Formats: sequence, structure tokens, C-alpha cells
Amino acid sequence: MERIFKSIERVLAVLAGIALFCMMMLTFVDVVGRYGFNKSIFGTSEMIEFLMVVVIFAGVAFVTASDKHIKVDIFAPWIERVAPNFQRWTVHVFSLVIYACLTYELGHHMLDSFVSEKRTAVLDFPQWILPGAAVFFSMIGVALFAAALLATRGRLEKLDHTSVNDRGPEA
Amino acid sequence: MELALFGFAVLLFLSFCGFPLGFTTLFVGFIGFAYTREWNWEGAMTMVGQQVMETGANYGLSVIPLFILMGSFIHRSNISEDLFRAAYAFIGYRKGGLAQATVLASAGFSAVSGSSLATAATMTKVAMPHMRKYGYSDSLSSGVVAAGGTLGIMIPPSVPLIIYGLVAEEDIGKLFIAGTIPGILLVFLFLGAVRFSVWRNPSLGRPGERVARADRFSAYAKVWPVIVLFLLVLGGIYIGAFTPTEASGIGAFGAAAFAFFKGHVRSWSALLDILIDSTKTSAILFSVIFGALVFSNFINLSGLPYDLLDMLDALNAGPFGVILFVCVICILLGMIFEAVGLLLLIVPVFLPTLQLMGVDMIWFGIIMVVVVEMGLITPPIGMNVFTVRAVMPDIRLGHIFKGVVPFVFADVIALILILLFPVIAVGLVELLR
Repeated sequence: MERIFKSIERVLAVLAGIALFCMMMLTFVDVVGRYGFNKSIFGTSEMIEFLMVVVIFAGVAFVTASDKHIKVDIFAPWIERVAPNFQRWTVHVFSLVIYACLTYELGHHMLDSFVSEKRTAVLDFPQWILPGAAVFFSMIGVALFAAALLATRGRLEKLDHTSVNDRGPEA
Repeated sequence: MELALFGFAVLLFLSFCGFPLGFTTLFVGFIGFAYTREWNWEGAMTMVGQQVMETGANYGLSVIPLFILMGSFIHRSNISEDLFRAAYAFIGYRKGGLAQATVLASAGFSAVSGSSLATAATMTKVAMPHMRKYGYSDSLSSGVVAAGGTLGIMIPPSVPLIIYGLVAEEDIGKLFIAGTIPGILLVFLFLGAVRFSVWRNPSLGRPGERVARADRFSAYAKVWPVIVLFLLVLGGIYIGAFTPTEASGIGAFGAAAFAFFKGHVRSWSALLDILIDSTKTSAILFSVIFGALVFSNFINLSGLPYDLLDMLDALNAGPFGVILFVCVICILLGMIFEAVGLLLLIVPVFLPTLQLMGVDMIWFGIIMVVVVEMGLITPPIGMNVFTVRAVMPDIRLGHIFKGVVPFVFADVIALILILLFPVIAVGLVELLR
């Protein structure tokens, strides 16, 4: 179970990382092309928007599953001492429900875009691709988070997340 | 007004209980929005979906992951050692010179990394052993690395400034320009804080050895890539050659090339490690941004901005009084919340009121960043202090907090100067308009 979990988490992280690399290259080549050769890449901004969806939503999926969100937890140590299981499960179930509801609404958004048959202004891609990608990664994230909670009985710190390296947010 | 305050209280309570900040703000914003629309769940759900999707697929916001990526490349390229050597060669022979060199090296490192935690962690590793070798007191040396790290959130490119720009709908390029002089001012004030500490107690920091002229120039020569990268990114924005988004892509590419030529990122696994690290940091920030934007929709709908305006009118507080009030709240909350979370919580609450009062939002943004910067080194939860402690576990937390006191005063002086003389923040923006 843990191996499958880590593999999926790793795939998400690698996909998001590659998307970020592509974003960097696209932006750089676009600017160099514009100033050096008087020629920009056609539809750069739309491609970057799509890559942003991959970076952010795949990223949120593996960050949520590895419980790395920003927390303040001033009272948490005290509550944990008094009712350890209650605190842990309440926080995790709350996060899971919010994440699942958000995924559901993104699905709604995708369906609306799909039915409207709208297309993007420059590249003429179907617009539902963007929410579609967001829903895809969020669904994997919700499933991964739920599976991790069940497998570790809510103790996500038990899972080894070294496959997706471990540093906090940088302010 | 009561509704918004109740929402804010629930948000603080849930956050303090250990609920993730991003999900909590999203939840409170969603419930509050539905309530103000007479329990219109469908409308609230649609708002959340639209807000999250528009933010997550926003071309302009690609600046955040790209600047974070630039910082990660710089962090891994070990430039910090070269920066410290150059700064030491410049100023290290003076009393407290090593500590002043640490301030300069931190400023240089943060100018291209944009991260205060990374700056504090890196400079602790680089500068602390040298300062200990010369008998510097632990409180001064640990205090200076913790405080030096905070320069990262004022000196552009700065992620908190980008996030402020997003929430306040202000031009990120202008915010970067506005952050330049206050950033330099803070560097000088931090240098002054070291000087003052050593003047009061000379045993805190002895002078280092004077570096020979040839060695000095060879040390300066090693940091040219950092200067070039900084000038390229900010200069490009200043002269309007490219947008902040394009500058972030160019900066990230330049940092990647620099790391590659220095021999630090030459394997697929090293590159992937950096990419995943940056993605993770970006995702954590975006989850808080999603929540904050939903929460700000609720705040706007609750009528709080107009109620606050009426209340402040009745109190005859004026814009300056409101800003002072916001600063006090931020200083208090900054002791608990980390920088980005605090910005995203406070700015949406007061922004509409200040806009109605005609306050310059660029100036206000710089004030907010100075205030949240103080939160990184003030007890009980000064993130930079904990970072220094994590790298140097043998130093007592109390010593580090004692060491940052002169720098907190320097921050307060900077805040007062920017409050009294807005030209420090907006002067360069006006000049380049």
C-alpha cells in the first residue's frame, strides 16, 4: 500500500516539476525570440496557463496527501495531549471534506465549460481542458489523501515522503 | 460588521487548533458568503469554483512559482559562501565587521533568492562558523543571521510583495520598484544596529583581518553573476523591457544556468529535486491564496469595509490612524502567523476601507511587508529564529531572541520613517513613471 502511495505521489510531483520546467523554458524562449529574432511563440500565455494548472493542482494534491499545508497550531499541542485522536481525525476529515467539495465544484465548472463548447482565444483549444486537468489532479489528490489516512490511521507523518523532498514554504 | 468579525474569530480559532490555514479560510469564506446571500449554497459553490480556477490558471500569477524556482536554483548553487567572502573583504576588518558582512551577504543572497527562510538557513551555515572563530557572541551572530534573512521579503523579487499585489490588484512591477529603497534603507539600519551593539559592548564582535587588495578584488569578482541576475531581472522590469512574469522566467533560467556552470545542478535527480521543491512551495502558497480570495469575497459582501469606514469617520481617525491600527494588529498577529498567511488574512479585511479613504496602496503594501517582516523575528513564533536554531541547535533560543532585539528596533525605525515619509516607498515609482 505504502509503495503504491509513494509511487503515485512521486508521479504527481515529477509531473508538476516538469510542467514548471516547461513554464520556465517557454517564458525564456518567448522573450529571447521576441528581442533576438523579432518572433514570439504563438499562444505562450495560454500554454503557461495550462502548465500553471498542472503545477498548482498536482502540487496541491501531493502537498495535501503529505500533510504539508501551512498550520499555526497554537492550541493544537494542548488539544493533542487531552484528546489526541479527536484532534488528529477532526483536522484530517475537515481537510478531506473541503478538498473533496472543492474537487466536486471544479468538476461542475468543467462540465459547464464542456457544455458551452467555448474555445480558447489564441490556440482554439476547448476551454474545458483547464478545469478538466484541475479536476483530474484534485481527484487523484482526494483519493490519495483518503487512502493515506486509512493506511496510517490518520498518522500521516508515518509515511516516508522522501520521494518528494521535504522543505517548508519560503516566505 | 459583527458577521465579518465573527467569521474572523472562527477563522483564528480553527487555525490555532491546527486546521490548515488554506482550507480554513476557504471554509469560513464559503460559509460566510452563503450566509450573506441568504444561504445560497449554489452561488457560494460557484464563487469558490470560479475563484480557485481563475487563480490557479492565471498567466500573471506564474510569476510566483517561477521566482520560487529562481530562488531554489540560487539556493543550491552555493553562492552564499562567495557573497560572504566578498562582503567580508569589503567590511570585515571593522569592529563588528563580520556581522556587518553577514548583513550585506544576506541582502545579496535574498535579492536573488527572494526567500527569508532560505537566506537565514544558508547564512547561518556560512557565516556563523566564521563569527564564532573570531569570538563573536552567540547572541549577536545568531541575531544577525536571523534578522538578515528577513531582508528577503523586502528586497525584490519578493514573494510577499507579489502576493500583496495579487490581493490588492496592484502592479507587481511597481511594488518591486517601491520595495527597492526601503530594502536598501533596512540594510543600512541593520548595519547601524550591528554598529550600535558593538559600540555599546565592543567584546560582542572583534574586527576581522584586513584582506589584501588583490584578494579583495578576486572575492568581488566571484559575485558578478548575482549582480548580473539581479540587474537583469529588476532592470528589465524597471525599464519596461519585460513584464514581471517574463522577468521571473528569465531569472529562473539565468539562475539555472548559473547553478549548472557552478557544477551544482548537473544531474537529472538534482534538477528534479529543485523542481519538486519549488512546486511544493508554490502549491502550499496557492492553497492559502485560494482560501484568502474566497474569504475576501465574504468580507466584501459582509459590508465590513463600509462599516469600518463609518466607524473610523466617527472616531475621526483618518487614514493615518487606520494604518497605525492595522500595523498594531499585524505586529501582534505577526508574532503568531507566518508572513504570507498574515498578509492574506489582514489585507483583504482593511484594503477596501483604505481604498475608499484614498490611501496609496503601493505605500500601504510596503508598510505591510515591513510589519510582517518583523513577525519573522519576534517571539513567540519567529520563523527565522527557529530556522537559525534548527541549523545551530547548540544556541539557546533565548540568546537568538536577545540578539535580534537591535534589529527589531531597526525595523521599527524603518516603519516609522516609511510611515512619516511615504516618498521612501513611492518616490522611485513616481520618478520612473
